[in-house]
Amino acid sequence: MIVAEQKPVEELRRIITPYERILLLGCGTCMTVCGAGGEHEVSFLHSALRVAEARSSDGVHSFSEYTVKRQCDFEFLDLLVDKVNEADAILSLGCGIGVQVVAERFPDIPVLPGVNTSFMGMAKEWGVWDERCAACGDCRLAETAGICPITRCTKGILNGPCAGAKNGKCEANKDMDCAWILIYKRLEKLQQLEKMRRYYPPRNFRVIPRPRRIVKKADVDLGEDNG
Amino acid sequence: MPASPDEIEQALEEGVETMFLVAPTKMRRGNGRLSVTCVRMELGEADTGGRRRPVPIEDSEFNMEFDALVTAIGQAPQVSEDFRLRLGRGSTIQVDPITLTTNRAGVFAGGDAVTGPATVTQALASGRQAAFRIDDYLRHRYPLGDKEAEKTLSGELLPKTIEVIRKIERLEPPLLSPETRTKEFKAVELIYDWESAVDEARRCLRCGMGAEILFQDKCATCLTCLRVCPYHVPYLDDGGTIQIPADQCQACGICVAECPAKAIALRKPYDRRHIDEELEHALKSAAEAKSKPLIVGFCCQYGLFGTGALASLWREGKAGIWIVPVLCVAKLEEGHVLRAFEMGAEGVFIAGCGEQCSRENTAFWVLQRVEKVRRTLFQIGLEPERVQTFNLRAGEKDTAKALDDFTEQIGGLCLASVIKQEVKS
Repeated sequence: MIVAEQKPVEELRRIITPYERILLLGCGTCMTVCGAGGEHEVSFLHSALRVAEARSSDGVHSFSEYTVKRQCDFEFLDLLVDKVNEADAILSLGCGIGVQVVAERFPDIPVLPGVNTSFMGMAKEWGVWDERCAACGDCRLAETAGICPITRCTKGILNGPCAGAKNGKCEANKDMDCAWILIYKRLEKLQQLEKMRRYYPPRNFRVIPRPRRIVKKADVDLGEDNG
Repeated sequence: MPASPDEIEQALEEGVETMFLVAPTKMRRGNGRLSVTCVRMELGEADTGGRRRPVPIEDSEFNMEFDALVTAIGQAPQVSEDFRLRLGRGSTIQVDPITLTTNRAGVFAGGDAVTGPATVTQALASGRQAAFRIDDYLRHRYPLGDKEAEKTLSGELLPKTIEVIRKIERLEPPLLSPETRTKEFKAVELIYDWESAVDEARRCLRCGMGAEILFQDKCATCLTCLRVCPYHVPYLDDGGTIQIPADQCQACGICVAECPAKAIALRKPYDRRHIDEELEHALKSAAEAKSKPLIVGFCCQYGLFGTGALASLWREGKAGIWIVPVLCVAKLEEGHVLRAFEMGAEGVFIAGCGEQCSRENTAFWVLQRVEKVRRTLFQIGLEPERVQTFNLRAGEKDTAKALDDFTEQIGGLCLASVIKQEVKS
C-alpha cells in the first residue's frame, strides 16, 4: 500500500489562498487505509478549514468534499464532473499518483496536493506505518529471506551487516532493527545460511529511464481480414 | 416455593415462620378469631414437566387460629374493568403476538401485564416494540417484522470478549432493618442515593445500539476496526470481508469514530445522530443566549451528566458553559470538537467517567483525538489549551473548581486574542 501523511493545515491554507471554491477530494483506497485522505480525514480537514475561515477575518473560501473509490483511474473520476464544474480548485488527498491522474482528467482546473506521499509500506499496528518496498524494479527478496535490504537497511547495502550493527540494532537509530541481522536470523531458521556466504555484486545503478511503463498486452497482428 | 431467594431471606429475618407442604382447606370466623383448617401434603409422582405434584396426606388435617390473615398467592396485574380489555391466564392482558393489539382497537399492551412477572429489561423491550407497532398501526400497515432475524441477534458472547468486559457488581439497594420492617408499612427497599444510582446506571452498556458496517461499498477493509476494538469483535470472514456481529458488539463506538472510510455507524438511527443533534441544539441555544465566552462541554451521559455539579453549571448558563451529553466520550469524534469551534466556542472540554468508566480504553481514544484536534488548532493559530479533558468522577468535589479554572483560562485567552487583534489593526 502507498503510505502518505496529510500536509499541515497551515500549508494547505496557503496553497488554496488564490482560489475561492475548493473541492476536497478524498481517495477510498490506499489513502483511506493509511489514514491520510479517506472520507474521515477529508471531513476532518473540511471542519478544520472551516474553523480557520470562521476565525480569520479574510474568510472567502467555500468548501465541498467528496471521496472517490480510487483517484488513480479515470473511470472513477468521471463521476466527479458536476462537482468539479462548481469548484475553482481541487485539493486532492490522493497520493502523488492520484493528484496527477485528477489533473490529467480535469485539464482546466488547478489540482493541489493535500498529502505528502511518503513510501510503500504496511501498518505495523494501529497508527504506525513502516516502509517495506522501494520499487527498485529488481527484486532480490528470494536471496534475503523475504526481508528487503534496500528499504530496511539505512545504507541499503547488499552484503551486510555493516560494522555499525550493535545488539541487532542499527547504528543510525538504536530503536531500528538491523535489516541484515534480521536476514541472518531468518536464513538460519530456514536453514539457508549459505546465502549469507555468497557475495552479491553491486547492483546496476544505471539511471532508470523515467517514467517507467509496463506493457502487459501483447502486440498482436490481427491482419487485414480481422480488422 | 416460588419466591426469590432474597425475599425468603428477608422473611426469615423478620421472624416469619414457614410451614412447608401445608395447604389451607377451610377458613372459619368464630369468637372474634379466624380458624384455618390446613392439610399436610407430600410430594407424589412427577408430572410431565418433571415437577413432583404435592398430594394431601389422608387424615392429616389440623386447625390453627389467627387474629388476621393475609392471602399472598402470587402476583397478577390489576387491570381496571373500565379498560374493557380481554384478560387471559393469571389476569394478564391478551394481545396479538405480532401487532401487540388488544381486543380494543388502538389499545396496545406490553410488559408484565401481558407476560406475567418478568424482568425490567423485557418490559423495556416490549415498550419499544409497542412503539414500532403503534407506528405501523398509524400507518395502516401490517408489521414487517422478521422473526428469524430477531432470533439470530442473541448468540453467546465469545470468551475473549467476556474476558475484556469489566465486571461491575450490582449494588444491592439498602433495606430497612427487620425490626422496623415488622412494625411499619413503609417500602422495605430503600432507594439508591444519588451517587449509587449513577453508578448503577453506568453498568448498562446499551450494547443494543452496537456498530455495523453501514456502507460496505466504502469499506476499504483497512482493518482499523479490527485493530481498535477492545472487545475483539470485528473479524475477517473467509471471503476477506470484515464482519461486526451485532450480538457480540459492546457498542463502545470506538470503531465508528476511528473508521477512516466512515463506513461504520451505530445500528440505531437515533443513536447515530445523537451527538450531532445535541451539539447543534446546544450551539443554537448558546447563540440565542449570547453567552460569552462560549464553552462547550462534551460530557458522558452514563455517569457524569447525572451528577449535580454539571447539571447546575448547565442551568446556570451565565458561565457560558453548554453541555452536550454523549453516551460515553469514546463516541466523540474530532469533527464534533471542531464544529464547536467553528460555531464560535472559545473552549471545549471533554469529561468522561475516568476510572469509573465501565468500558475499556476510553481515555486512550479520547486523548488520541484531543491531541489531533490540539495540533490542528495550533496550526490554524488557536491555542491548543482551548481543549481540555477532565476525568470527572461522579460525586467528586473538585469538578466545579476544575471547570471554574478552565473557564477563567479561556476568558484569559479570549482577552489576549482581542488585544492582539487591536494591536494588529
